[in-house]
Amino acid sequence: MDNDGKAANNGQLVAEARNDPAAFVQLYRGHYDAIFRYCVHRLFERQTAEDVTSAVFLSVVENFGRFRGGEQQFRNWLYKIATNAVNNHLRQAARRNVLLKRACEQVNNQDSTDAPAEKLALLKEAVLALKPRYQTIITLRFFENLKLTEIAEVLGSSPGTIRSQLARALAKLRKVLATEFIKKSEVTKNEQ
Amino acid sequence: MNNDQRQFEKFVRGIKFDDRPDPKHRDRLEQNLLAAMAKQTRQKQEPLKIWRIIMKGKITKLATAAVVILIVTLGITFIEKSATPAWAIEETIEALKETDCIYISGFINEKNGSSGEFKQWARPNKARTRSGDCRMEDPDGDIWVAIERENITYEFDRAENKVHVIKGINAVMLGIWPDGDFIRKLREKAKDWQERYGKDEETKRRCVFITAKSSSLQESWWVQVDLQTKLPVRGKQWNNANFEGKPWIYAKEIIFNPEVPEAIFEFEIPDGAKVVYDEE
Repeated sequence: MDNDGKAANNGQLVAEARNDPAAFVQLYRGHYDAIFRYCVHRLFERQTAEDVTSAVFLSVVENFGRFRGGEQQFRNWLYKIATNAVNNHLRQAARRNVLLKRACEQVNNQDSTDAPAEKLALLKEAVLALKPRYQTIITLRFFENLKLTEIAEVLGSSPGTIRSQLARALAKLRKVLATEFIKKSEVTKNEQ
Repeated sequence: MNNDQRQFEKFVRGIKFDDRPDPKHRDRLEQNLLAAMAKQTRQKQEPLKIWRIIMKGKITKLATAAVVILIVTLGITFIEKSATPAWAIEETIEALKETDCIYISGFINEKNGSSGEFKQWARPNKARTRSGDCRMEDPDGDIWVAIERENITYEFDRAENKVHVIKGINAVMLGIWPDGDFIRKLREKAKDWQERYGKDEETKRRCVFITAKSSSLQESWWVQVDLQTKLPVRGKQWNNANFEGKPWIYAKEIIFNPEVPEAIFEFEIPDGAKVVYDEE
């Protein structure tokens, strides 16, 4: 089922979930996986992603009374909360550095013949080096498969702006990834 | 989709990425969320509920009335025309220090004509400045038990079959034990203080009968004190300044240092009762 279909089915559920714990649980279960995946795609770390996912849904409980909308808006609201939670987490340079360090360690610990793992480590470094907003756009677009209009709603922007920011983010990413590939290649050559 | 996007998509697809959610975390979080929801609902509802209990609860009014009766009594100067020296307030306060427990029972007469029995037990805290352990039972079968060592007050609402577990010794409970300052202030502020000497009709013991009014003129009191023990034996409070109608509270029996089973100051949650945890 596509994102629109899921969201439409949750319309009635969103209304019921305000006062009915059973409906809230159903709503939560319907969105947990997507939000966790979004967090892990942004943070590249399962443990941290679980912590942030917890914070996201606790925030939903706290603010559910103020949420107005249904269906599509609820899912976008979740992504918005998740984006803020992830960005807040990354905003602390220390945490970001830890993530980057761990990403680097993983690269060094990987078997050099394991190309996908190496690519993942490179991706981590490259994405985490981007501005949080660009990270968000990249993740929502390529990992969560959101349309530009949906990303625009999550980020409170226009689809046109998102389109141009996506282009800039990809350009930066391509540059970073290319540099990283060159670095790795040179290291491998020197080791040989 | 432009070339950059296609390339990046291809790059992402080639990556092994364990992004499967852990059902254990999902279930743990679900429990936490339900607990958070329950707490939030409670916080929205309970301030009103607690306020209602504090302001309107029969048992609370009862506690307030009972302590005033005690204080009025203990604040008496105990001057008997034939007796010297006078019994000073300071001596009353000293005598109170010898009291380890107070039991009061009697009746509450409501405006609608209904009447019911109440019971109260209280003993002082370690500093002997306030109530420590305390139990009150009102005509509706509601029970309050404050337990000093646990720093917890239990309030059982029989009609709703619900127990509120309140952290701390509820402020109303604290007021039950009459401390020296309270006695002095009340004695100073009471109006129309009058003493009449006579005998108890049943026991034929010599007593003093005191009448007084609150400074706000919203309550009036009648208290009977045994002159031998210097302690009150009965008391009444009207919620008007002129002793009009049936007294709202009639403390028919006041016993100092009664034999009290320890279980009186314990509380066991009744079977099937809903338990709600409140912050004081």
